[in-house]
Amino acid sequence: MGVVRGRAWRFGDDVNTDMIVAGKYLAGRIEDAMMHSLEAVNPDFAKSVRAGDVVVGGRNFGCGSAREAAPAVLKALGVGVVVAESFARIFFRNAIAVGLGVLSCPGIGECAEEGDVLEVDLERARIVNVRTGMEVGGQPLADEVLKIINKGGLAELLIAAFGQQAGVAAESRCSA
Amino acid sequence: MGMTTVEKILASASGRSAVKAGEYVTAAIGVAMTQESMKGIYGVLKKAGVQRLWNPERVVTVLDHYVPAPSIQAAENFRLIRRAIEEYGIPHAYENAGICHQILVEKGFVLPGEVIVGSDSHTVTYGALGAAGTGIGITEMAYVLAKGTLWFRVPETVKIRLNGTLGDGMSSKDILLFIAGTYGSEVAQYQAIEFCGPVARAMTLASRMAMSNMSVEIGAKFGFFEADEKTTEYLESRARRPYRLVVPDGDAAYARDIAVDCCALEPQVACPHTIANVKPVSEVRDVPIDQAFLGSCTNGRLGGSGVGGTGPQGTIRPPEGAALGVAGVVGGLPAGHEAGGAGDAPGGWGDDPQRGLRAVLRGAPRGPGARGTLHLLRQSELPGPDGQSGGRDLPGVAANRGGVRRGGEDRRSAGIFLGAGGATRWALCEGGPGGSGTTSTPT
Repeated sequence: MGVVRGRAWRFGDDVNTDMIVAGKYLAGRIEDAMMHSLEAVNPDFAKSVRAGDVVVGGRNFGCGSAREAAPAVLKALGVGVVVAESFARIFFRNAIAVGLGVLSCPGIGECAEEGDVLEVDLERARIVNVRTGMEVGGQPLADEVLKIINKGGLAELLIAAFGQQAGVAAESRCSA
Repeated sequence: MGMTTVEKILASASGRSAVKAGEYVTAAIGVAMTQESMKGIYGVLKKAGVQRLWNPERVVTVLDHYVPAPSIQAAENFRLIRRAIEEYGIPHAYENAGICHQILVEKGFVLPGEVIVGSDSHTVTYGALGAAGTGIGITEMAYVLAKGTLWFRVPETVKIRLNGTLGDGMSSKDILLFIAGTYGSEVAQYQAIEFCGPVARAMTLASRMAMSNMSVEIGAKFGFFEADEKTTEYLESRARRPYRLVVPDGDAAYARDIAVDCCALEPQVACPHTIANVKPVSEVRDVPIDQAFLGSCTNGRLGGSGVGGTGPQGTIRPPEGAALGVAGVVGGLPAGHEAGGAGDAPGGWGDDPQRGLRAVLRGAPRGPGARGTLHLLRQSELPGPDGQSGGRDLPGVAANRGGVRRGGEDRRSAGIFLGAGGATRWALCEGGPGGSGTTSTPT
């Protein structure tokens, strides 16, 4: 996926999947759900996030209910990558499964202010803060995991393997 | 350097001689379990054009969270899932049969040393038999069903030694709650746990299952007990394939070594609002019970750490006004073995199946001194769907005897859930099912 370059959106510890996509939106369309993503902690996020922007989480990002719609919504909003001090396991796996880049990076919270432009190189697990010039390293992902993210997720790998390309659009509802 | 249990299992499943924590592997899946989330998985499979599963024989589908269907949508979902089962020729499909994790164990799908994935966070339960069971997401499960493999990061392992002996009236769940309260709900975040020591060895399989099940509540990806003669004896008539026991090496590297003195423990209570807010029962003292749910997938089993620890004919005494939920037993109670008998919170009806104990202490206090008596009955003594008594003989199901008083008004039986799956029967249910309207996500 090359280097992602975007503005940092900072969040605290223990951001749970219900904050990312509330249960009441799960049965509806992803376009509706995404406009409310993380509104409880930052009402501007969903309205203002731009393609390639970087979500900077604290510890245990994505904890709570194991809903795959949470990373799917962030991806649909255009989030380029989520970098966090640490991730809840199921969110981490689900993000990879839907093709959203994730990078564990202890210490990132001290290296990025809200709105700083970050360059995230997922393959090298490096993050550069363009404003400060500071560079920090995260925990590298394995090649097979990077491949899943680069291909757009496991469903895309299945489509490639089983060959039904036509008419396969992105999941249009949150709850698969 | 030797290997931990999880390192050995993942090395074997990925065709390597050795792996160590931190490495990534692509592991062959032994068994894949899905519950109601099969609907979403089916959607992914269809979109991807998958026409055949990697090995239908290794796929088990259990409908247990929303039975009987509590809504039209749930019923529609079931219909889709049945179509998926038919279309992909999944031979092991259970509906109205009990709780998914219990079924997989009872029917001999869970074998020591295998990697088992489930679309349910409590798939860690299978660690009780020495299997690497863990929960995965819907798209991941679709991938597994199509390809039979999945990536894993080999986790570090926390060794938890259970020393001493466990006192009367205590259950393995008390130990797990004590660990959560003492070390926090992230003590094993993204790690494996190996429970060991004399108390672990002395435990029944049912007690081990309760602890492995709750490993996920303290962050764990796997929660192992070493398979021993109790495991092999239990599997003797059940195992569907040959298996091998996995024993960690003496010089394996552990991220942390925790010792728990079980002699010093008293019953533990998880208080609102987190699993780590745990107090010994002596500190909680008398709290009137508004709702009791005895049928979670954690420990809704007969005997051992099961339903009230009372066995099929025991008696429990919650206060007046308590709404009782008990998910029932379908698999039966194998003679001489207490790991039999299933029970889980049916998410669509009861309270959150992952928070069984917390439900016990919820709600506003009621007046002291009130009493109701709940007897565990045979199913033949239970009311049938028409309110008449009858039905098959089935141990471990409870019924409320007499009316209850809640909030100053009399209600007959504020919702008593009698059994999961096919055993489901309602007793007098004015006031709605379960007494809780909460719907939880089946994960």
